Amino acid sequence: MSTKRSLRDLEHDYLSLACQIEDLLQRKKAVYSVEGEIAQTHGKMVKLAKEILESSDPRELEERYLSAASKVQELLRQKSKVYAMALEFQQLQQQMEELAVQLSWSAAPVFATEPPMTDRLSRLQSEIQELSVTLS
Amino acid sequence: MDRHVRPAEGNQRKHFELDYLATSHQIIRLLELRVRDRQALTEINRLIEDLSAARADLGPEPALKKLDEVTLAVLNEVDTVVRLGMKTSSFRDQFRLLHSQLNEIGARLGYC
Repeated sequence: MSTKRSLRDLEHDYLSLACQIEDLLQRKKAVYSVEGEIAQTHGKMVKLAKEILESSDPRELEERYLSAASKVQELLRQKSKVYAMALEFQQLQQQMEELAVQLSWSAAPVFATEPPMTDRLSRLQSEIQELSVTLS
Repeated sequence: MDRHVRPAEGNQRKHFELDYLATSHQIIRLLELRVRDRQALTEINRLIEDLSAARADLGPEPALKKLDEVTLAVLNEVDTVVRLGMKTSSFRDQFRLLHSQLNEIGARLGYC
């Protein structure tokens, strides 16, 4: 009974880690959306710089450029969080691999005849490995 | 710079993004100094106007008249110094150079 409970706990931990990875990927996806905004703001700065250098009274233009440059800095800072996420992903993946060993998923198919829940978690593990390749 | 260059990826992209961040920071500092000079000029002009408005209320004492003259002279001198600094500064060259660098890095990141 205690062994079963332990396995259930391990599976729960595994599922929890899988959920964390899903959350991480959602956050990463959200941060990637700033890329377009950065490019757009950069384009605006290029246009403003040209006008500044051609203008005899560039006061307002300079202030607009300053505002755009500050915005692009903020967006880049947000985007740089993606790099920290890669580390977070590696840590989560490592924990999952350790759990998989404890659950004997990475060795012989001991649970080949286990109920669908185990199969599902095994599939999740495969998906996570595929995602890992995509992200690296 | 070839505008159709393939955008950098992976670690190289990360380095370009850091370069972009550093260069944009330099431009921001440059523009902030420019804005600060303009604000100083606005403030000096405001002080000169305040001084002119207060002149009518000054008493007949010669010391007050002298103080008024000296204060106005100081403000005018500061105004001249700030304006001269802005005219002789290499702001435009620095801005042109930094923006050109930023534009090149931006192109490597596919922002153009």
